[in-house]
Amino acid sequence: MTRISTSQMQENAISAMSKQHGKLSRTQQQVATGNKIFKPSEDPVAASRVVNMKSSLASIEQFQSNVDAARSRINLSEGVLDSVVESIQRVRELTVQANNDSQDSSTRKFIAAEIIQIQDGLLQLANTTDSNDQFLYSGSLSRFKPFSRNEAGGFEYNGDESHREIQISRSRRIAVDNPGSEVFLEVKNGNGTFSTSDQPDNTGTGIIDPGTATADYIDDTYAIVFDKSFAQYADPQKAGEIPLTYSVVDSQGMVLSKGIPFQSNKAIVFNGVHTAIKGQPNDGDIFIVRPSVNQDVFTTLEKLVGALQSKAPEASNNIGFHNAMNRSLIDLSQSLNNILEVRAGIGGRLNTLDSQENINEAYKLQIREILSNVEDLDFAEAVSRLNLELTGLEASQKAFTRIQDISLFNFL
Amino acid sequence: MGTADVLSIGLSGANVAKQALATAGHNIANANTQGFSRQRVETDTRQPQLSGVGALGTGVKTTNIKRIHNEFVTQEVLSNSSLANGLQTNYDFTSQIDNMLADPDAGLAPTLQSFFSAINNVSNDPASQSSRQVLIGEAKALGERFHYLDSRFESLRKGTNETLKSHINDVNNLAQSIADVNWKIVQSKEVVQGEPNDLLDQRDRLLHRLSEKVVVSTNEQEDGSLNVFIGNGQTLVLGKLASSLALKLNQHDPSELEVIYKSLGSDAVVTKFLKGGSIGGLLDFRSNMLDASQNELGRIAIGVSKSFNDQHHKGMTLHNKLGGDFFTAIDKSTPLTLTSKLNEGDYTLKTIITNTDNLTVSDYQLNYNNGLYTLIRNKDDLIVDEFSTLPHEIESEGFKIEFERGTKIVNGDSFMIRPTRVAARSFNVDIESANEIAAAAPVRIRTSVHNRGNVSPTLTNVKDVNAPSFTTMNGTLSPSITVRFIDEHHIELLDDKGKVIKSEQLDSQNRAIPATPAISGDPGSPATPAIPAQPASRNNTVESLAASSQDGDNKQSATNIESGIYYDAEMGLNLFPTPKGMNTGYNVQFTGKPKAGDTFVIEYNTDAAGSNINALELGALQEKGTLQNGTSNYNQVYSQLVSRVGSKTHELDVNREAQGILYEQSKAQRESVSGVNLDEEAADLVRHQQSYQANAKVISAASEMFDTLIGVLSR
Repeated sequence: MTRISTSQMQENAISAMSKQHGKLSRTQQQVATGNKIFKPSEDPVAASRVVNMKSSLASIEQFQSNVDAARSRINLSEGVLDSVVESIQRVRELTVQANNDSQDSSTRKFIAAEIIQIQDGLLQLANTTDSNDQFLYSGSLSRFKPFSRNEAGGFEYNGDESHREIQISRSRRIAVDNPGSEVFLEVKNGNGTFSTSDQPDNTGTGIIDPGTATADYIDDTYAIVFDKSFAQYADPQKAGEIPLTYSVVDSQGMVLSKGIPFQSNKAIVFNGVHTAIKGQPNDGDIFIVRPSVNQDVFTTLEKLVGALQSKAPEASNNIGFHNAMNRSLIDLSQSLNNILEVRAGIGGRLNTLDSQENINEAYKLQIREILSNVEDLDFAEAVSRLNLELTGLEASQKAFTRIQDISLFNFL
Repeated sequence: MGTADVLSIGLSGANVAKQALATAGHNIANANTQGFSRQRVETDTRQPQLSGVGALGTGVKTTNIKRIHNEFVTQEVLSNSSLANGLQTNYDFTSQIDNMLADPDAGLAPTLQSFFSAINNVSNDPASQSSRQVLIGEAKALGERFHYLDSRFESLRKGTNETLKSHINDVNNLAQSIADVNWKIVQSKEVVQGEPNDLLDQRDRLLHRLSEKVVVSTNEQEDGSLNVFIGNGQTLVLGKLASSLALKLNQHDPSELEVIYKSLGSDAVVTKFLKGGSIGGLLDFRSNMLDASQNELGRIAIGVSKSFNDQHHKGMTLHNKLGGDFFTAIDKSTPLTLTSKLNEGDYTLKTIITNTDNLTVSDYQLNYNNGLYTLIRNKDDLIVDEFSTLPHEIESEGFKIEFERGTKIVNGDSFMIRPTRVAARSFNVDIESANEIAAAAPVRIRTSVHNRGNVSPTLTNVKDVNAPSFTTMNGTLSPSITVRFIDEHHIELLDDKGKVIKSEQLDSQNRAIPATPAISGDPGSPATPAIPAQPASRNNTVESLAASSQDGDNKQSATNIESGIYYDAEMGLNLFPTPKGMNTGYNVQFTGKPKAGDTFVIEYNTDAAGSNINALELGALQEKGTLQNGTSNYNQVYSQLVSRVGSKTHELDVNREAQGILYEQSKAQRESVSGVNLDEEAADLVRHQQSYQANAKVISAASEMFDTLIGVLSR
């Protein structure tokens, strides 16, 4: 039999009760806060996981806010580009209209005036600023107005070619803008591979088609030369008359084909160049096929305006005018295509943003769930535990008072 | 036998009963006295009277007032008390760190988060002054959080020192009291026979209280006095003499207290030997928890500032300068190298961190003897390096020791090195203006507007801003390089003398649009008409500008750097290092199909207020493992600290509880032997009362016998 001292009995009861009090207060705190753990020491592994998961959660939230920032910037750019597309389409309509022989030089001057308006508008659009007064289309040189007229009367680009990127997930960055060079500047003239033109001193009525390139296109500058002296034979039908023929010469002076009889609108094909000349060129007329170079939108409009404002197109000059209109039309198409391409890219990026936003959101939910498992209290369990602990404490208290009452001294 | 004998027997019984009643009363009175051992009257029969009929009993006598007590149990209580108190004290202090780190508002994690969020906002809008200002504000908040955490550690250190002081005081008082009680016990034994029970209890009580402070061992002498030893055998009490402990400033670090044992003129540092009890627990907390945690916080501070600065250096500010230190370079400024005040030489040394990944959270001691420096890591008392000359880099520990000043070093001189201790409190933001945030990359690649191919260049990295490309001339790239495709497979590099170039000024002479054919006649054929030069277009400004720029000096002064670099459109090309070994500190990748004459210029990113390339890289540090050999990011190293402290606290909690139970059990065992049970004493009271009554009856019987006899005689 173990001997128990009176004070020990008391101490035992008190320490048991204080332990129960401790447990109870912890459970009560858990229920009050809804948290399972309060201190890292209660579950060190969970604690460090919680720190890391909370940080991941905050990162994702940051990425989501980056997505918003990216979207607003892309939207800004998209709005501008929509207006640009409208403007260029209007210019194209006007060009088609001006190209019509029903117009005379005075009506063409009105058209020119409208195009000049549109050009100014385009310039303003290209110089759009964001909320911080930073230019949208300057690349990273955002403090500099990207497009301006220079002293020579032409246009200069003062930005650079860089894209701004925004981090939208741990591993993904998305470009949120296009430098002006990409939108307005780097537009291949002609059909994108080569451009065709007549020589200003041509005397015939030949109008050269912008043409198309085939896969076997060889990059070079070619001249299509009309020269009767190359003719190989006389036309039997029109006896004695030497038929109109053309030859093709490359930049090295190599003659690719010689003395080919000309027929209006019949395909002229060499080294991957597919074109045709409509009308009746005169002997000595020359047409040039040149590899496309970049021509900015403003210069394209400037050339168009120049052609429209030129002296009243008469006779052969009229042909030069139509050739210029044709070039402008194809250049406008190129500009338009280029901007549509940029806009398609923007659309794609908006889609990417949407899908990334969904991915981020899903990931966020997932982490929240894990975090909740680690961190949050199971209320049902906690409340039933609370009840149990309360009952236990009450029982100890009752037992204590009962036992304290009993003493032999009561009976002496 | 006479009547007097009966009376004497009765008297002896009544006396013993009275003594027993007094003892029971004493027990009852002391039922709640801490450390009281119940006492019991031991009795024996008195010497019998020999008579003709045999030995006649003569009554009872008290032989001893016995103190019910078990030496082994008492010793158990003492040792368990030391262990339990040590763990409890350690736990109490450690859990303060635990609480501090867990507090979601006080920990490092939330400020790190806000800081990186601010970086993201700068990178989303690099030209915005307000988001740059916010970043500086958040960086300062991060610094303040480091300071705050460090100040909490410091106040814990202060608290530790204060508590240590009061405990040492207690130990000295207790030692003196024990010595006094020893003296009383010896005296009492000389005067009275039997044990001085209450004095022994008192001494046990004092010992118990001493054992709460530190582990003690005892040795009882024949005269009844008790010798008390602490540490590794230091005599705290010798008979009636007490020694004392004291606190002294550490020889290296005046902010740290050492415990010394004072005895007859010679002081010995005993800090390392004091185990258990509140003092042992405190010392253990200080060296294993506080120092390590504060060092680890410092290591985090160094890692964050170093890796962030490294990336920040690779960017360009709004002033077109390379990024400076964003945070104070605490890897260079904060390692402490403390000189012992006992040193006879006058050397002072300096420590510089060379590799933050290899840093440990330990402190080090550097001893000099016979031309040899020995570096000991305090954490495990391991000699990590021995060397004879300075400077010396200890690669495995991530730092370098340098000579600072002084004329001589003497055998026995020593230094203490604390690589990371004060780093957290020195974590500060170094840049002052928002313009100094290096959000841009220092390099850009311009693409000629005349390019006909679709090669796209990418700046893949800026590795080393200390390369000559960046350092030769501040604010330019030396050289600024023109990259020109001679044909689809060959690149030449030209030095453009650092001129900043607009894209339309890029070389158009060489854009390789074949000249319009000059038709020289076919032999034998009539002359062909001369083909005019390119059609003159009114507004061909981009081209004319290009043409005019060719008259500028940049064109003429361009010199060839390297030619014939092979390019394959399928593979792309990382330009550097070039086949001839040109390396620039950055790298550029070309991909896509070129056309002959395509030209790119690599130049300094002057005025690129809208560039966020470096800001993106800074933001990526949040997730990128740049610390601990690339395995952990900032938050992870912090969570490691949290979990390390957490698990240590948890371990202490478990041990404390277990030890607490053992302590309670040993106390219960002592109580069960020595404690007073009131029921028992009540029964004793009744018993001895009865005994007293019975003996009184004997006396009364003797008295009646006497009266009867007297009555007969007087009749």
